[in-house]
Amino acid sequence: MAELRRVMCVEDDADIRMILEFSLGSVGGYEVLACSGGRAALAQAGSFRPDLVLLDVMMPDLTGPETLAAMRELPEMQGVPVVFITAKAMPEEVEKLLGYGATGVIVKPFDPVSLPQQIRMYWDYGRGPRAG
Amino acid sequence: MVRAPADSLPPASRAGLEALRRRFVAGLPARWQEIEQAPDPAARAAALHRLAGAAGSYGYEQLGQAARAAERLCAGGDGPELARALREVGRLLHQAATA
Repeated sequence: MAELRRVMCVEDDADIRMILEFSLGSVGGYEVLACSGGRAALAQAGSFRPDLVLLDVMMPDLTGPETLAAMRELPEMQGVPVVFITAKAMPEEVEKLLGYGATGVIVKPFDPVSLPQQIRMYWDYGRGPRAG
Repeated sequence: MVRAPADSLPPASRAGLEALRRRFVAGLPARWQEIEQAPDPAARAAALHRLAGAAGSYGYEQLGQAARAAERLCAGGDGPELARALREVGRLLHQAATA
């Protein structure tokens, strides 16, 4: 059975990117690749082969939804759960993001101590019948 | 957001988190400069948006909420409400940077 080992996080703000990397790596024990934008993530997705992607929504080069759509064109990214991370927590915004094919949505600000548990929950959910 | 206690972490992780927090605080003056000197409302809103997301995640919830409130007001252009909201962001930011 596949395990959650490698997590890619994509976030343009350096401070948020660093605390994500800390949370998922030092607290969660995952192998983490932190990317500063959608284009960098797309360039590295094939070699890193993430088990799950944590993807910011508002980014200057490619937005989160644009990055997700491009990831779905990559053969190695088919079925990899993608979780959006966003400051916009209104139900209609969350529904819209799920409509792009995301497995879940995590709201900023987040707690770096408990974030790995949330990620694990989405990983379990993403592997279920709704996966892909 | 309910926070899990940081003291539940092993000492090395607690030290790592504290080092990151100090780094974030050291960068606050540059963030304030970016907000104050933004060339247009969209750039100011973007800078406030990034501050809001980061501040709360580093444990500065009040600063994060103030930045979020100011971000929302940016869409309406300059005005007394936005000026008040920005003063509050500046006050909390200064408080965090000098604590």
